[in-house]
Amino acid sequence: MIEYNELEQKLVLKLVYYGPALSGKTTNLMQLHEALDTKGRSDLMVLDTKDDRTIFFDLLPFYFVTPTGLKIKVKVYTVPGHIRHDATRKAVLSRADGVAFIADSKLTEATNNYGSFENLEQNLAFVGLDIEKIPLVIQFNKRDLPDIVAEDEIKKVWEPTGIKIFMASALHGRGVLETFKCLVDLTYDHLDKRFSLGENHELSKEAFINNLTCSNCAYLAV
Amino acid sequence: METEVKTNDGIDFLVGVEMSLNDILSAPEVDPLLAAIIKGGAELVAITDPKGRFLWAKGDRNGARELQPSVRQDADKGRYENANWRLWPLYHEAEPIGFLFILRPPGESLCHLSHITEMAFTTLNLIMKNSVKRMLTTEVHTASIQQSYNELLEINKKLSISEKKYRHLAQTLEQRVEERTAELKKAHTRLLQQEKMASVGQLAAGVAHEINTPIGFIYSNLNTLLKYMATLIKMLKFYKKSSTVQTAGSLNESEELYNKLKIDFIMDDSLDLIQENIDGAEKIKTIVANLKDFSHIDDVSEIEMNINQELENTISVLLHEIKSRSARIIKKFGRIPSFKGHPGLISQVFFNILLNALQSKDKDLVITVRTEQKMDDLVISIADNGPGIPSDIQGRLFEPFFTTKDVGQGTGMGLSIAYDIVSGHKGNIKVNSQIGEGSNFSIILPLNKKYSPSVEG
Repeated sequence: MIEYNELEQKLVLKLVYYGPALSGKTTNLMQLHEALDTKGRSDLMVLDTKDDRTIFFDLLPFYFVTPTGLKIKVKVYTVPGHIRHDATRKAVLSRADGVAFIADSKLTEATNNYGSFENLEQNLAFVGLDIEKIPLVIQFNKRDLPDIVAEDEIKKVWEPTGIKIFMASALHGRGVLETFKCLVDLTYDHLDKRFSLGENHELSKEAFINNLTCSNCAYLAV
Repeated sequence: METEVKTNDGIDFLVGVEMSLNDILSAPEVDPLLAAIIKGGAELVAITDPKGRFLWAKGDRNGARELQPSVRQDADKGRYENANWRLWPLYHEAEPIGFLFILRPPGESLCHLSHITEMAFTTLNLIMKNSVKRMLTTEVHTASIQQSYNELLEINKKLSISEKKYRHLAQTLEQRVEERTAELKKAHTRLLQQEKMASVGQLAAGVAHEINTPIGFIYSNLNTLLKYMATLIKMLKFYKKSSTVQTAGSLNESEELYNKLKIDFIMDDSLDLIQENIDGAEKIKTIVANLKDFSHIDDVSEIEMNINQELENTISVLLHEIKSRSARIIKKFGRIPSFKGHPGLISQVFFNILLNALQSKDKDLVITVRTEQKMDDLVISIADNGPGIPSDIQGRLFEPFFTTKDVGQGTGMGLSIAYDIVSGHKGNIKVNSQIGEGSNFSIILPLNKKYSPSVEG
């Protein structure tokens, strides 16, 4: 986590959307921004550049206060996918509490997916995080496109690892919220072990998830 | 996530640190806005932190440093305005981080202030948004630049290590090239010297061959002459005896002449003279033959040779040197098998080492030449009772041009050439020398050249 200030009763968490360039990380965040209630979340901050890709990163912050007065801020980041921004990726990844890996389902992107995942493993190790322990979900995006990797194949590869896999079409809002919910879910479990959120702060997992994903529109309905 | 990521310098490459209003806004940005609101008629305007403490304030605040408790209580209840004042909550990342507070002058309505404050609030939010964006950009830039910088430092470190390695390599390379060049130069000179020696040998062999024929008939004629002379003397003696008997009275005239011519002496001496000539001619013949054998001018390929015989030949060539120094040569030749090699070259080895030994001492010089077979090696040792070789120069003996003789006396090539020749026969030369006790050069020649010689102390 970025910060835990006991005196101010404040917990700042970081979730990171990782993945190869143009796999739809920003689209995921934009859809979340659109879908979720404005209460308790800020505007999506997009630091983009002229060539349409996310050179720096996007940031979608959430904020709520538990009944016991613990202020919880969750900052959801995307990393720049382009290979040359590895230093930025490391900085964004540092002290992350959870990672959503957004893979590109297109057949032609298999190599890039693989390279990016390997890069994630390396950078997690670099910033002192254990890929085996950190909450991690994988989303195969762009399911609406032709020439994509078959779902059976994906499942065959990833199911044995125990990592949760989601099929999505971020552009159309499908699978976005499910991915995020699962990541938040896993993150709660991880945090609860350390901070006893449920016991000490009267924050149940449901409340935690609801606070971050209260959607009152049907936009993202599956 | 429990581990903090620290670099070597303790810089934390972290994106997402929390910011307060103090970090986001600065007086130069805020002041004009607050001044405008006061100008618009407000009694007091302030920007506060979440707890209501004034961060920036303008107007008449009567020494107040924070919001009145009543205002704060209202704010906590979600009431942000009454007839006298208004609060505008400021958010950063969805978190309330402060307020814009406006107090109306006593007795005046806030109404006419609302437009300007609305504008100021919007502007303030815009400034905050841009400021945050700029700070985030800077944050990421700094983080990634710091990281790249550290990576560059690391690369630089590695580069300088490898540069050092290569520089060292280049330096030693230069040194190696120099060494090789020197070696080549030496080898070249050695070849020249060897060629020179070879042509000297060729000349000697040619001269020997030319002398061989005349000395042949001189020797043969001298033998015949000795026989003739003996016959003549026999006849002359017979004449003298018979004439003395027959003509007793008139003897005097011939007897007088006979005595006057000292015929008796001539007869005795001429035989001795001829014998001496024969001995001399014989000696010349031997020398010439040795010289020819020694030079081995006709042998280019390896042949089976008798090492003991080669030593004999070499010693005879050096006979003059041996005699002039009254040196004693002790030969302890063992029963050794023949050795396959270049006789001319091997002789040169013996010659060079023997010559050194001969020059080691002027008086009472004793040189012991020994041959023996040790396992699969032939060992030829040439030991003198000279002054010995100082240990500090023993290692340099076989270096080309190394000499202890006066300038012009030695080439410094003798032992170097000997070493090369023996190496060429897969052999080795060992030196054992102590000051005052003489030197012993052992030439080890392997009988089976496939194996390197086993050297015994």
